[in-house]
Amino acid sequence: MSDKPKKSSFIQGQITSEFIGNSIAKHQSKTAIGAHNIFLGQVRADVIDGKTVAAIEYTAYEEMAEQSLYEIRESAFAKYDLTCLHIYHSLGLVKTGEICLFVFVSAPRRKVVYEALEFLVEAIKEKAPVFGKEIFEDESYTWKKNT
Amino acid sequence: MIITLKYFGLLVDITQKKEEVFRLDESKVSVSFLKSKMETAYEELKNTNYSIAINQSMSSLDYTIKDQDVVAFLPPFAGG
Repeated sequence: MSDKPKKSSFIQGQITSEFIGNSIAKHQSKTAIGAHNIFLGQVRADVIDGKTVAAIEYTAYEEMAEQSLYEIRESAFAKYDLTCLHIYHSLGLVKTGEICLFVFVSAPRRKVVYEALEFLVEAIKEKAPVFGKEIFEDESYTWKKNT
Repeated sequence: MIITLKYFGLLVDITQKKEEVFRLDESKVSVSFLKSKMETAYEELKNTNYSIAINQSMSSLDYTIKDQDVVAFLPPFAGG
């Protein structure tokens, strides 16, 4: 079952373990599934020029990002034999150690979920117009660059 | 023609705004023309790495901007 394009992929603040747990539980009724794979992006306390990152504040060009994520989902469904997939990204402030990206793929068999998950995470990082302000402990900031 | 300009991330710091409406005497301009116009208005843009989306699609420099287009200035993506 594919996600509808209008469904929002953005969550205000961190993605909680409760939200992730509930998402897993919702799949118990989908008994054609034999394998799930999950990617969780966590905010890292990078040290940049001697200063430690305390949080990332995420912003996005939301309308465009929803469209990019929709296209990424569609291409994953076209490429891999998946039962369903879900993408959630944080907006606003996420502290170090908290989860900011949750990608969840499910399929009848395990092989495709490894490949599909990597494809999805790389495509999200490359194509979704999401921006991160890395805020240091002293409240100064720098703009995050993906490596 | 009238176009809407949107700025994100680092580009908000440079322009000090998220959005502005721009009135151009020309009826058709290329993305590269607008780019040089913007880099005159906001000099710091010259030393900044950014891409441009027109009406939510990534755009090439030779694309012709039309009346009512929404032009977004996007710094490197940093999701995840």
